Amino acid sequence: MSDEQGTQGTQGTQGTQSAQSEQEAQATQGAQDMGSALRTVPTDAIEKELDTSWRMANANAIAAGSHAGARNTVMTLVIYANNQVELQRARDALGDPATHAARAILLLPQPGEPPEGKPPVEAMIATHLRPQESTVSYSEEIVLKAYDGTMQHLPGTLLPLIVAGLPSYLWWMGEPPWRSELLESLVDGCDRLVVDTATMRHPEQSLLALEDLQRRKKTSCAVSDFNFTRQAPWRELIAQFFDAPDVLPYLGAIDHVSIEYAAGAGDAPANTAQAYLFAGWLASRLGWRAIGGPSVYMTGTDYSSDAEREYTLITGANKHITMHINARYGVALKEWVDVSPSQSQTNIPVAQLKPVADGHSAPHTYSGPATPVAPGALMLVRLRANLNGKIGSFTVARESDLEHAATRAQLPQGALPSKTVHLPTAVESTLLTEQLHQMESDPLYEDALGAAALMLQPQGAMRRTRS
Amino acid sequence: MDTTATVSNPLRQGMRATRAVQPCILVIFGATGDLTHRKLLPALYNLAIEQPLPAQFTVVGVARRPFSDDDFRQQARDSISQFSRRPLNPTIWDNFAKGLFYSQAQFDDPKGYEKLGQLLDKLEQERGTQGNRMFYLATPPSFYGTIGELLSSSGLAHKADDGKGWSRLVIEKPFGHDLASAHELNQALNKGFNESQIYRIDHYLGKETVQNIMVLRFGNGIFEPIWNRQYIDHVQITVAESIGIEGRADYYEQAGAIRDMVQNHMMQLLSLTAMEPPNTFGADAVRDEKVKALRAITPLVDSEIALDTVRGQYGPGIVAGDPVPGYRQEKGVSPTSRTETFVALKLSIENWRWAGVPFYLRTGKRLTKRVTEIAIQFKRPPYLLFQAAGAQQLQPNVLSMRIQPNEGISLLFSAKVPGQEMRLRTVNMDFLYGSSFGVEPPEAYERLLLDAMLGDSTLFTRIDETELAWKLVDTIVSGWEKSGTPIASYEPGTWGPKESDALIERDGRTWRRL
Repeated sequence: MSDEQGTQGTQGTQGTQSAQSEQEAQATQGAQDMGSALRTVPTDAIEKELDTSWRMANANAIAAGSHAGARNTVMTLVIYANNQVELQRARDALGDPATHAARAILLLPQPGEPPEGKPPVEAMIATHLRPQESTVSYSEEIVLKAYDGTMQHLPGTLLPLIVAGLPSYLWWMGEPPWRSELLESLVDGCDRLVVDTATMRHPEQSLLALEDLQRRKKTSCAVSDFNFTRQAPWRELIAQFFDAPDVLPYLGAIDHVSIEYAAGAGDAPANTAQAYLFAGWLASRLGWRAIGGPSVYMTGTDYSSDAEREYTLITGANKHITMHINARYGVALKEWVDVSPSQSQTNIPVAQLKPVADGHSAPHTYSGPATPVAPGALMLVRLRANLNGKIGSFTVARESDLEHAATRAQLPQGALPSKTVHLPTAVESTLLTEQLHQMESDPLYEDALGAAALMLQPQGAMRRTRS
Repeated sequence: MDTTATVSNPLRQGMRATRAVQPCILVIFGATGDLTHRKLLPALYNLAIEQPLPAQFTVVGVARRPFSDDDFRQQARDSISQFSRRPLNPTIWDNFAKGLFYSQAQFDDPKGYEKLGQLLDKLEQERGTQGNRMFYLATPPSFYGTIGELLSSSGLAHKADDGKGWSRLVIEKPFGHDLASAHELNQALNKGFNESQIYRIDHYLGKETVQNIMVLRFGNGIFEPIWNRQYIDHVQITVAESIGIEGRADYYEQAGAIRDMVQNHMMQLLSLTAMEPPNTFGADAVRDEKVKALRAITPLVDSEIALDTVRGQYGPGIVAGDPVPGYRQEKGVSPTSRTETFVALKLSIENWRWAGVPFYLRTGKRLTKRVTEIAIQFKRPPYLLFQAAGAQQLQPNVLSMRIQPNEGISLLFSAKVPGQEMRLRTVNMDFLYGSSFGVEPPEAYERLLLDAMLGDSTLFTRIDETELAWKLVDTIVSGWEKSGTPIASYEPGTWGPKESDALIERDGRTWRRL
């Protein structure tokens, strides 16, 4: 860090680096980072200060026998973090080498009005130059802090900083303020909005709001969701059942679908977004639509308020399909993972779960290695098909270690071989990288979201048709 | 492509992997050999982790050793532990291992094929692979013809369109050692497999950066208009290795640099650089254009071979402070060997696009460093406006596509040195794959195995490509033999013999310093 501190010393005329930003810088910059630490700069001199930082960072890199860097920017990534903890999570995700070379603009709201003498929007910048095995990765970071009372100035400061001509992404951490001016103007300035419906407190309303936004902004801004990426292995496994030509006919004969997700703890309902997105994906691919709303009944157990829901869907050939979306109580919640205060604020609730064999028995005493699974994560998908009296059953379920999923397919002529895949605990940087690989809109997600919204609010279909 | 059945799966619509591997059995001949051990099994395991393989996917290893299924599984486990880019996951492994089987056979004994056939029939029933079979010949090339013929005569390979599922054959280079032997090999293979069922692997085509040549050229609007004789002065293709023959004397003595590198990898790089835009990205459309480019290479006559080709052989020397043996001192190499370890060529492509633009190729072992690149050197500006500012000393614009290492693209251009005076300097603009994308690309074998299972032959060499490349190489080799010119010796750790420099300097050009 001595080089970086030296750099700051030469650049200190433009502003003072707060103790806080120093700590932030040290927390995120590994020993490998040969860029500059985060420092406060005047808001109207951000670009100029970045130029200075790059020159200094390159001088340091050359002095250390490494390469001089270029501003190898491939995109702008705007991140809205609700608090310092989320900001740190965002910076950690950016520090992962898998994250693209990007200009990252991090937005951090502050409560109240700016203190006397402080500008309405404060800016800090850093450059990162990290030698990899055979190359160097470059990125630059701008942190903008705006107060409740000055939030309206944020787009005016931020939008000119988006690199022209390159893709721009907006990652909104947590639940966005749907239909707010701030969200709308940032979405209008970016090519893709990235959210994580697993972190939202009101997932079902949020899915509806997200679908509404996606439809309104369809031509200018795509949407994507970490939560949909998490379930990609499940989609792939279900699709693979029907790649074999002799199994494909069963796909059109499905008459029953069960989707189970990990139940919430105590009184907290689990986030149902994954289950609905999966249901939406199936329905959109197979041309199903929901008839009316769900029959909802409470489970009657004392340890969760998750509801069991039954839908009736209709195919293009007017065939009815029953779909159950259930919390899986066979996976008992032993206890919340013991997390430190900072982690408890940063992560979505995490439970240690273990399924029991019969699927519906009492809470199970957890033993064995700890594998966190978030409430709401898919636990099982089962399709049943009746092809002219020939019954086929296709199941993907988490294994007892909760880290793997296995397939089971039973046809009249016998069982197909089982396949096991690893369900990696996708860290945010991995999920983020996945979204950043997508340039254009993702019809798969948009269709799934649209179909999920129809299940959640079937009357919405009529409203949309009229509008 | 045989992927129509999977395309009809509506659940695949909109997925990134719209193509899916159908249930199949991969039969690896040479299952206990080095290629299987180092490359194939780790690649298959990584594919299993990344999901594209269906649950029914099955591997049958065939080799001479008296292995049991469990022995083969243990060998596979060792391979994966040692060479996989991802660590072994015991749960995934247990499931993957259930699909591994072994059948002992002599490659030239029909009885072994009978036994193999019984095993395949049984597995097809048990695992639902629907008659789809891919035969991978990871054996010495001398067995290719025999295995191909026995697969046909034993009925293990289905004819295309016989309704019993598909059969494919995958073979590794070298595809023969000259045009006649390549032709002969192909005839043997054609007894059981037609051309659409044969997948010839040139692992260079599995590299991301090689595939990116087409994206750079045809996915951008700015390069193609200047990709011709109007703007390009010449092209240099370098495939340099810093290592020696690494104990492969048996093979290398027969092959030499021209068969080992020029006939396959370098011709692939040349044809991708020189080809016209295909009208689709389909296998035959791409390969048709590559073949047209190869066909346009002007055949060298004997007098040109003396002038436009250089062959060299490394002598003993010191590399990185350590003494290294010369080629003739390597174990298994004849002390009077005339096998070349270095080749430099000047080729011309006589068509509308490339007339008058020479392609200089060089490849060798024990060179200064390991580097593979294609460099497009553009013509100088028509009028030197900045002569007083040192413009004459400036390098012309060069677009270099680096295949390995530091995969990426860089463009050299002139810029003004800041200051009161007009001074110019050459600078470069780099695009590095690692910096920009930060993700680890899959191994070439993963991509190629997957493509072969999907029935996509775009990245595989078609017979006419192979034969055209052999024709060129045969002409050169026969010219060398006729002329009896001595093989130039070069110091290890250098860029080859001085004759190589002379070849390009004669045209007023120089090799790029890499």
